[in-house]
Amino acid sequence: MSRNRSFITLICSLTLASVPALSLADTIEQQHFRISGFGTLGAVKSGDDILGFTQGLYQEGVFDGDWSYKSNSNLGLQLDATFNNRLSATFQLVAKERVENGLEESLEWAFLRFRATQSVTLRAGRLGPSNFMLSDYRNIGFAYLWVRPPTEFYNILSFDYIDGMDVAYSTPLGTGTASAKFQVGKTSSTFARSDNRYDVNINPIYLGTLVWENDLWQTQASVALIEFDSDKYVAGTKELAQLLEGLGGLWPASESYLEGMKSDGRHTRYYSFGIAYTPENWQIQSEMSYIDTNVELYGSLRTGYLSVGRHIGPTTAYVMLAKAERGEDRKTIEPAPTVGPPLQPLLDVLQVNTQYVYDATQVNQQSASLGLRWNILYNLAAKTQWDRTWVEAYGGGFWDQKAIPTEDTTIDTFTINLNYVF
Amino acid sequence: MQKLFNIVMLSILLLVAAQAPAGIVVIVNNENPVSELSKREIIDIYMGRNLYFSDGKLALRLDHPPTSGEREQFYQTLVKKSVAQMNAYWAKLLFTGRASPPLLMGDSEQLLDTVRNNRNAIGYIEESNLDGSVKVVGRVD
Repeated sequence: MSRNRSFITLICSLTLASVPALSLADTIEQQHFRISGFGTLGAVKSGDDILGFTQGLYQEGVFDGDWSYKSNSNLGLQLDATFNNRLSATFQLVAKERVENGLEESLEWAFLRFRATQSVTLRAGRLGPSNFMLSDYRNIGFAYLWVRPPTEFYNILSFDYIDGMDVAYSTPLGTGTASAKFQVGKTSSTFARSDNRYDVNINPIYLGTLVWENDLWQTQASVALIEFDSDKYVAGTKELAQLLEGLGGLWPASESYLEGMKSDGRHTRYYSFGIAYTPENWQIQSEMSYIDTNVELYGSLRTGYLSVGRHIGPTTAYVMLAKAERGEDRKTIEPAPTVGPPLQPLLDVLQVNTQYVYDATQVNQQSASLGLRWNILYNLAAKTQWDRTWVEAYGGGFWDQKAIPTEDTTIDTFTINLNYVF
Repeated sequence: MQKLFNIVMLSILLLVAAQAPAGIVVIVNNENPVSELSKREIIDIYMGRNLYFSDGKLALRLDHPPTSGEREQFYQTLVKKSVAQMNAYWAKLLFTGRASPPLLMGDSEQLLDTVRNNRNAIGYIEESNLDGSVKVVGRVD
């Protein structure tokens, strides 16, 4: 915790130190060097006694309808250096709530960009993933309408960056501009669940995105393929798996459960499509995705949202519906065989724990949201949002779960944000 | 008496005409070979979708202060967006490393001076501020 605080202090100091540089950056002589930043001061009230609200798997939950000032807040600082017309570099540090929160995790971007031609750009280093419409600017609250990217759609994207490279091609097409991007790299992240920490390494990531946009429309389609480069079993199931392995033939059915927990060398594919329509006084946006994997424990997932916003002067009122639905039914772990003492208690505990890990990754929920954004200044916006989320029994995988919810649950989340850029 | 009345009325009309909102013109350096930009080309340059002139040179895009009337009028007329909405748009492009927003100038005079002295600069000013030292390549109204 003290490390978090000292890091935030460091970022605040850097921000203040950059103020003279900002005014310099406004002059023609200093165009090679630009410091800019963004931030969110946010308060979130959410959760119940077993489901804790999180913005992503990297955070601890907000339980019992408490207010949290950390879950939604962040501060980012970006340095852009332009060496010549073709070569530039970007570094971005973001201080926000993460269970693992050192410099390594806070460095969101650090890449070199090379404009090979007017149409082709290459980047290498630490980059943002571009598979969903908001995936590489989820931290920049000022840049989007809502208090956060829709939880049902964006919680599955558990990594912030890719260490690797990408190539992008863009060209005028019809009344707009078409672009294609291919990214390759690897990433790692630390998850928090039920007071435990899990390191997840993903290598490789292949990601292809097509975008077409004009003044009114933006459409995007993408495919991503990732491979878990970690232990033999899904993060957080290693100890259970080792115990099940040690049973030999004592519980024959456990072999298939073990198989379902394996993650090494297995693939997950993300298919997504998004569309936004922004006529003069409206802001309408929708994304859909299908996530398929041969890690049985995770299963497939269908997600989507639809948001409609109406500008009224400097304010925008919006409604949003979002849903995330697991493709497969809940897997019921059969009772352990009767072997009698002394092993019976162990087998029974293993059966309960196996059921737990299979239930903990199930996601079945939907939300309805109402919100308001008010552009107070050209670089300052206030937002408020109310989400009502219906979480199905055994479907709380997007929440920090103290226990598996065995009944349908309704949770209200209230958020107030101040977003700014400088 | 009638003559005096006519003179007064004419003077008032001229004053009103002088205070009517001026058109915004898009300007480049006199040495820039570009002679005309369509509305679409101006939008693409100022929305960061195309950063180059037709001769392949990287455009040095210039902007007015966020609170200036020119900036409000330019973006409202061009893409029907407020300055705050444009800032949100640019926050997305800047902080994802896709493109940097136009360079901020202190006022029209500095902007005009920068276009005058940089071959690849592009800016916009009120038509009434033109002084013949730069080339007009488009009009936004």
